[in-house]
Amino acid sequence: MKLGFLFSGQGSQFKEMGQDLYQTEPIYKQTVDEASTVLGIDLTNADVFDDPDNVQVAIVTMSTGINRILATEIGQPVGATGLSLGEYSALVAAGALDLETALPLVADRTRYMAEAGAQNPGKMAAVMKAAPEVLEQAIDEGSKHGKVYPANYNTASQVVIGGDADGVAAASEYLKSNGVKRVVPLNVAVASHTPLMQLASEKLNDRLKTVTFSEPNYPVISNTTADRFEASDIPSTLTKQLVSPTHFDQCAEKLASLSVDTFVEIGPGATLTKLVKKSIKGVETYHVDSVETLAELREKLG
Amino acid sequence: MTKEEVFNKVKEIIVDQLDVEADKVTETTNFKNDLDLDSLDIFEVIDKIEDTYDIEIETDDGMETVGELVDYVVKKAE
Repeated sequence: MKLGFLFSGQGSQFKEMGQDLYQTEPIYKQTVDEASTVLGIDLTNADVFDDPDNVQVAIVTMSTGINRILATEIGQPVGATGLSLGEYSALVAAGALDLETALPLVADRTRYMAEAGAQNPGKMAAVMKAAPEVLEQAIDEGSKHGKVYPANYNTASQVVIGGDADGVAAASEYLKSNGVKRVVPLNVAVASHTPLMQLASEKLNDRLKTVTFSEPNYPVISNTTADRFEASDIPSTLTKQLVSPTHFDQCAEKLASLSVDTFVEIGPGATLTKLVKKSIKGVETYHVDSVETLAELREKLG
Repeated sequence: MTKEEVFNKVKEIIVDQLDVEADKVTETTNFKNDLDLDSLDIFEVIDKIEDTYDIEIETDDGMETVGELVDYVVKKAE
């Protein structure tokens, strides 16, 4: 069995997430307690954990706690990837960064993104089954009316575009007039992974100068380059990540090329699991974000 | 094409595409409330069904449960 770990990004967090794990899993509890100490906030309190301002640190904490449990029970993966924020969880899991350093960094990233978003409010929309040429044309058309860019290449048939309201609206109109049946607006206020995040990227770049990364213990595939992170390029890649499209489709394929036959998503939700199922056939998938899902994994893989 | 056949196909698509357990899918299952599916997930299911039955499904106001979707498909495919 060759494991590939997928670390969740933002978007699928849910109320009271992790509270059940805190009650029953000592390793998880320890991780949340550690995170609370590092950040000086009480993450053991569900209201604090669920606070939208804390969502990034909460997800990284939850993912790290679950990963630590899995490390003792099913061993190391042959490779990992994360979606956007999930990359930080992946780098912690692979030993490139310790939790104590990661959490304040992620807290700052949250702040920079919020500040950039306040300055450049954005919109995003998921485009289903658009031919690449049509998508390109739509982006060109949209760019005449505002700003719009491809932001997430999630699968061969799902691309998320992002930009300002006018740009996204114009691109969406073009798509719908050209045979694309589904363009689904997403409930976000920020156009992540587009140049609208430039301000955040610059701040992150400076902030990363204070962080030292180690070589990951196993390949962690970057959304931005679709290649492995190396200690020397982690800061620049994470900086670029905020303003460049993510290529999760290629990250999943890269893991499959490492012979991963069992994907485990770690963190809230099953978004990445579903994306992998669409792109990679013949693999097993699991996701762990609760006592119930952990039990299922233990039953099948323990 | 019976309602039961359509139901089984819809169930198969949901289980296969969305990492949902088979026993969670019944006629009264509500996509959002019971299965935690978001609009993207529902579109994926609808898309697959359109391909399978060669029909067009006008989105989705009023299709909140598996049963409602099945009824719609049966009607459309007649």
